[in-house]
Amino acid sequence: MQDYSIITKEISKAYRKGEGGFPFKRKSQKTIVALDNVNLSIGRGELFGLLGPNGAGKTTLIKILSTLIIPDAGTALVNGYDVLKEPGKVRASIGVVSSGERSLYWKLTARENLEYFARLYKVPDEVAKRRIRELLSLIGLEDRADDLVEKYSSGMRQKLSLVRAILHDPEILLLDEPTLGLDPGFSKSIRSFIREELNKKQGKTILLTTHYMEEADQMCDRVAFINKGRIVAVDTPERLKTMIGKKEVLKVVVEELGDSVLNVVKTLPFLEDYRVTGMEQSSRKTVRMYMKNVDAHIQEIVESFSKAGCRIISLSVEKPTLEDVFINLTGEALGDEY
Amino acid sequence: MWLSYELKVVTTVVKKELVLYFRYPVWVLFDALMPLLWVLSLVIYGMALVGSSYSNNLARLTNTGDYISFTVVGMIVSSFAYSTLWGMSYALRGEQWSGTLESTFLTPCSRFSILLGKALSSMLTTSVWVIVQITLVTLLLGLRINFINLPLALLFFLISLPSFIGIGFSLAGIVLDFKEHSAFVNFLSSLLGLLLPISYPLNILPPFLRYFSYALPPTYAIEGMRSLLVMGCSLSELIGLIIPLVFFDFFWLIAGVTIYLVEERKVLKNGTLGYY
Repeated sequence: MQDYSIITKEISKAYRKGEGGFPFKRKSQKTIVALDNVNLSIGRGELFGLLGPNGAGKTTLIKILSTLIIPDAGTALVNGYDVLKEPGKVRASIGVVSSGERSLYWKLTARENLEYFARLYKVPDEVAKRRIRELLSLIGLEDRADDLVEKYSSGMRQKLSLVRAILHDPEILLLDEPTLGLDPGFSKSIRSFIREELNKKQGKTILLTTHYMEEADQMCDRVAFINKGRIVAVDTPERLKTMIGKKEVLKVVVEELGDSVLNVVKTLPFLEDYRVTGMEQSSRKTVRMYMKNVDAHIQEIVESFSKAGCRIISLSVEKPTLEDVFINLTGEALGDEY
Repeated sequence: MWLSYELKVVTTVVKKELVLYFRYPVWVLFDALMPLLWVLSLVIYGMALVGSSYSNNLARLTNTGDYISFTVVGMIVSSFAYSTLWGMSYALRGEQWSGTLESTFLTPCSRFSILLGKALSSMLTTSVWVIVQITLVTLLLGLRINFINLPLALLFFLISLPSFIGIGFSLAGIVLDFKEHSAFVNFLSSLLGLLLPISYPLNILPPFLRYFSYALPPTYAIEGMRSLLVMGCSLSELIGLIIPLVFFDFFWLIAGVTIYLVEERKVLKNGTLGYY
């Protein structure tokens, strides 16, 4: 029987948003389903990705697993402890990083922050001092240890948040969009630290939420797609990509994509499916066209766009990505733009 | 083991709060000056009405006519009560604003240790400014208090502290849920300013208001410490104040913990813990 670090059992959560509030009676209430009957099992030592668009329910699930939100139905076992019955033991077993920059005290230095949280996490002072020194050195912040956090860049603060999360050497890490808003250099070093150091070397179980498909593809042993609170598919990135069949993807970036163009595209007999993405306000759109044997049809596609009066900016043949699988399963894109 | 860990959390929170406090020097300066200004304005106002620091009318209503000592002791005790109450009610709200509440709540320690640490740090800074206040008022206005009774006054304050902490727990929970800390503090400060015998004796209040005053633990703390420091009473003479205070200690500790836990559960169910 496989050893699981995290098991969720039919977790559901809805938020009720209404106008007015205490002491006034609420006029109307709108229910937003954040999680709908979520069942997941994450093995010990696994790096598991939860991939979905903004508002899919990723953060809610992380917060339920970290005891910061109580679910409406269902429960979860984290390191064998029930999040509803043994929240203290759950918190001692996990380290959590969220995408926000403000989870540290900006008017304290990095060292003061870490010493403070180490004591709250019950780490003996001598052990804490050694671990803080080692971890700051590992992420390249040892020279800035005594600077106030307010003087740090966003990337440095995110690295420091990671160190805070692993100070007490937890078995499980819950990382909620850990690279959101960071520049590519910092994102790469944080991804590498998570994958190589924390997962492969230290053997920690990691649940990572992201809406960056490359991040999930490169880092995760298994990925779950989540959309509108429901788990749509769970498997390894490689197997998920085979779900799309032998189709290839032709990515066409165009200007002024009108209905007349789409009507022409739809009639192409070899086209199995297509999706249009792009910012609503922008005239530039991306059409991802799914078909077999792209090379044989490129000429015809270019002519169809031209005849419909649509200017092609770029055209490329790509292998199916996790995003393509997600689009095929849900009909929705992970983000506004590729 | 559990207790030593939680005590360590309390001292760690106190240390962190003090470091953060002194990283805002303008705030520290204003904190030092403001209570003194409040005392001075009240004392000068009273002296203007009475004509000197001695009031025959006050002597008739209480056992002392020394208006300055009467008011300064009232201010000192209420400062401690306020610092405990506001310190705890702002404790979690402040963390919500700074974005650190969730990272604090992710640690396995008790929330009550965090709240106690916040209250203690607030009381420590208040103690420093109270000492400065007493020294300056003694030098400037000739404050006359019974320093021999100071240990007994401290003991009396310790008897009243659990009730303040209990009320603080409940305020922390309510503010965690309803978020509007400033609205609560502004309203309660004005209400307590009216109901507590800070600068006037209780028997000058209309009878129906006195019932509300006697429902508030700080009323007994102010009356008791004033009796010890200004009127030179002994502890045994204050039994009528100690018994209700002990009752309030038990009542408010149980009520405070219960209210806090109910409110925290509500916030965790609503998913609004980190909201500001």
